[in-house]
Amino acid sequence: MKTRGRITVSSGLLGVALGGYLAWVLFPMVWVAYSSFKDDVAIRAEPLSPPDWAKIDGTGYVRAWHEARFGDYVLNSVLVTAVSVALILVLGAMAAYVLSRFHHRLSRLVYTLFLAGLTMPAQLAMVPLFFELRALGLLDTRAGLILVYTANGLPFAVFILAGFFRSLPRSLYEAAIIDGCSEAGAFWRVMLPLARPGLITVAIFQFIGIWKEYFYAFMIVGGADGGARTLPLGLANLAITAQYRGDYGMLFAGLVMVTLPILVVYLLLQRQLVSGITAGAVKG
Amino acid sequence: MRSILGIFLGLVLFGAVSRADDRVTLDIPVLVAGYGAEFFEETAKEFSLLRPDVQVHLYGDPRINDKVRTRVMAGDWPDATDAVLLYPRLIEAGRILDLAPYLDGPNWEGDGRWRDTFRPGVLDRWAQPATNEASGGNSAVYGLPFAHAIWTIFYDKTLFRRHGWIPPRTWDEFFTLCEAMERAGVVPLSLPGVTMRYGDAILRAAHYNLVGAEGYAAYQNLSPGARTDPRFVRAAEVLRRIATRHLVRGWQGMTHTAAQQAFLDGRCAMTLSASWFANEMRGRLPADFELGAMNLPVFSDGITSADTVQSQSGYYFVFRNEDTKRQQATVDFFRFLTSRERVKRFARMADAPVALRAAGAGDYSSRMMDTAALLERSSGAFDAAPARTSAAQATLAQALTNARYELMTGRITAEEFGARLEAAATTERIRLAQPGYVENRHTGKAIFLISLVAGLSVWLIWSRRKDSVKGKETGGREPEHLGESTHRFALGFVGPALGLYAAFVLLPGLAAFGWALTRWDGFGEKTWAGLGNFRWLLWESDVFWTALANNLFLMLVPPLVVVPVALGMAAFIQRGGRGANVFRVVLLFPNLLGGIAAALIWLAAYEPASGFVNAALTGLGDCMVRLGGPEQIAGWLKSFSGHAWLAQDHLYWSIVPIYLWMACGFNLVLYLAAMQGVPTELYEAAELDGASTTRQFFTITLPLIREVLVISAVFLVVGGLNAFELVWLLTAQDPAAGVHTLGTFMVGTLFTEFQVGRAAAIAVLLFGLVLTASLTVLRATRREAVET
Repeated sequence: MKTRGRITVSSGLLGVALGGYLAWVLFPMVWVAYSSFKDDVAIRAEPLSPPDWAKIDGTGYVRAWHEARFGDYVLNSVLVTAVSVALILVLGAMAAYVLSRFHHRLSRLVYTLFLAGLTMPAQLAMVPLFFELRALGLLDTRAGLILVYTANGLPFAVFILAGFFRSLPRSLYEAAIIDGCSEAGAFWRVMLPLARPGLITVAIFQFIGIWKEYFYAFMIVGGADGGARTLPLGLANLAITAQYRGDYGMLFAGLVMVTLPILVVYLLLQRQLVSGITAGAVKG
Repeated sequence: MRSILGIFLGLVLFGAVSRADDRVTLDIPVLVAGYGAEFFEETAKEFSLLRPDVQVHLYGDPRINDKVRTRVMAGDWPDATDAVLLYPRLIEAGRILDLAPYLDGPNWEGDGRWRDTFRPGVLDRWAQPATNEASGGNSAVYGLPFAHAIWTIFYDKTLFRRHGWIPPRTWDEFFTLCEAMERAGVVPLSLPGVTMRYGDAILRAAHYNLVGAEGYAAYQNLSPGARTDPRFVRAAEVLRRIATRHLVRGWQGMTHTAAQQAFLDGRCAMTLSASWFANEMRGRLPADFELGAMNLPVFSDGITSADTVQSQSGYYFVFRNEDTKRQQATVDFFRFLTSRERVKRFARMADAPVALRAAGAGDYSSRMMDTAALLERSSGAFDAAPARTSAAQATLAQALTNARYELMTGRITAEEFGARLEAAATTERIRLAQPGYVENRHTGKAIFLISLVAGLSVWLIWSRRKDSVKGKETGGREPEHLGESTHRFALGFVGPALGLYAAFVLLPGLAAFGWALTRWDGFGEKTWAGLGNFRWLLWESDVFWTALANNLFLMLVPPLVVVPVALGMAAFIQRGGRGANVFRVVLLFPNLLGGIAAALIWLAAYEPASGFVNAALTGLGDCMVRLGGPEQIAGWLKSFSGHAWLAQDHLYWSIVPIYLWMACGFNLVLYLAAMQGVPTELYEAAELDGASTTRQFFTITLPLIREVLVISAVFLVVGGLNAFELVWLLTAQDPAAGVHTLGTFMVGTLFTEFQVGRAAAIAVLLFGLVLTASLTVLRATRREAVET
């Protein structure tokens, strides 16, 4: 496909426009990143100027690390996010596969129910949910948070993956059955690997969504001695404290620290996405 | 399904089990704002050292209100808190401990009566005539004050001295001074516009000064005519005059810290704030800055003393508990908190006044000297917090937010302001007597919306039936055979996902929907309201309709920008243009940040004086002038100096770029994933036929990724209807009627007004609208697919 890249005037203009857009998207974050090395006076007086490299101020990072208790929360975040995303992928793919490929009286109803889930008002539903989790002894536990995240991530997974499964040719499934695969075997060995780009898309979005999720984390594991607190709770505390103190240096440093791990993971998955493209091309 | 419901109900009935333990663990959630949580956590730790039998589990969070409210609604009571709850109702219901007997006992040190350690008058705020218990004729005391902020006008002493200005005592002197300042080229005052409720301090001070304690109480108790009273109107006129004439440029887009910063940066001579100012601005006050504080002025014909201060204390409430040991331990903790050593420690740490006598002038820094003097001199104090004696007054708070916005931006006169609030108070008075009362204000719109939704539903059902008939006639999409084994397989595959989803999303949501048919304040008895909540929303509430309009804006405008941009990018990356990989990675960055972080970045970026948006625009303007560009454009660019992007009248247009910034990457990845599925042979064939890349895009790519386009459209529409976080954070959690979305309206109704039934009704309407809208989009596009 790359060989078709013909350079014309219009695509040159397009390039300039895209470049401008890219700069605009990137700038606020670059601004945050370099401002995190400036002291507060410099941030306010010269919002745009880069830090004075002679007197770099890295104390914002120290304050942020201390204030947001990142050291205590990072493991919880990793654990909760990893398990939830894995569960969402497995359970979501299974459900999406059946809902998209088997017609049954109820399958449409179930699909619509999943759609409806996207609009459940979290704040309101929180009261019965809180009740339920407390009764199950899941409050202030990682397990409770994982179950809630998984349940909330399923509608998105079902949507995206159902679309992927629907686009897979029937002949592959039939071939698998003729070759002696069971229904489940056909799914695990043939269909699921083919839906890889979709799985990666879901994984990326769920990872991002859960890694930064605040409301449920606050409600479910926000207790003080709950050793299950996640990073966004620390960041939110940091954000509000910074806002009250007007300490932008600390806030920006905290943002950089929380965002960097996601960036790394995303860049790693990005490779996977590229290989997913190849898988898709083979399939086509 | 039924079995899941059974399990769920079983769990609900099972309830919580409390474990007995020798060691008492107290559960005290506290609100963290300007003062931070450090002091309180330290106090909890020290108390546990002194009393090894008690473990104090004290935790602070800026959003603790939401959490405590949820816990109270779920019946999980903490031991004590200062979170904002509907305390008058809780007191009425006998849930709050009367502290009077303890206050008459010894203080922590044991050398005096506890009651006498408090500053005079501060215990009156939550004192009520004793109810059932024999308390020796003393009134019951429910709230325990601690931090004791005073509203003052802070001023720059050096600047005042240089110009020979003196702090004004009366409003007339104040306005004369403002005009003198303007003649000298100095902007008089800064006030936050994102948090306009700071302006209430002026309104309250002026009003209290004219009507006195009794008149002020009458106003708070919804007395007829209190808001159209000429004295209230006069007070409102003071606020209007200040806001429309004497404020720093861009004030409407300032948070409270930004407004305070404008003062410290020398962009104005005064700022209005309370005693938490010095603590908030710690480390940002220039070393040589001479901070002065003056009491709010009075009228020359005012009836209260010019030395009366306006206080805003934080009150703690102890919940009643059957376990006397536990209750005693809780009270002991508060006796320790109010001990001399702790009080002095807080005054020093926070550099802020405390409601206890132990803190004196010697405990504050030199910056708080004026405040300390004001406190020493004060002949009395009145509390700034509105007495929330009923849910009606919480509703009135929204009416005030709306009218105040229009008053301070000069849209209405002080008379109109009073008339509006009076009208709102009248309606609430009627509703107090007649809970089901609804005023018919939007009948036409209500009927239109109901018929629209009904019409769409009928169409959805009808077209589906037509489809299935058509499907039978033509063979349609061939269904898979569902044999016995396949059936079991299908169930096994869908079951776990559906079960989990039902247990943790669907059923809690549906349970909450049930409340829409009741009137409930979150802990008392639910009363049946029938469709009353829906009637109120659709027929009476102005906010509902403006919120819906705002949601429509967010449903339509950002997607119209986001979809084409994301699609263009995806096509560019798909074709492997130069730097395509960089794009793919970079455009998703904003998605990684999360709502709170994004909102904070943009709050900083849009900040009128120190944000980069205005700096960049004016810088561009300067560049143009230097390079000899068109003057009009340069002048226009430079006019953005100090522009208030987040002012409420154009907040939504300022949200569009944020929306694009946040949503573009997400949609881009969706489209890209779909484009990968398009077979390359199709492009190759088109290439051979001589089709241009643009043509290929429209004839091959677009039709083949339509499924994903539809999904993304549904997500954007749903997102527009659900929009909550961004607006909530950009308006300092107190949006005026004009900028509410249904989401913020629901949360405000739930957590600020404690109207659970109404909040649930909003949620049901929102749910119904989203479901209808998304099914319609799905259905409409599917029909197209059948026809082409």
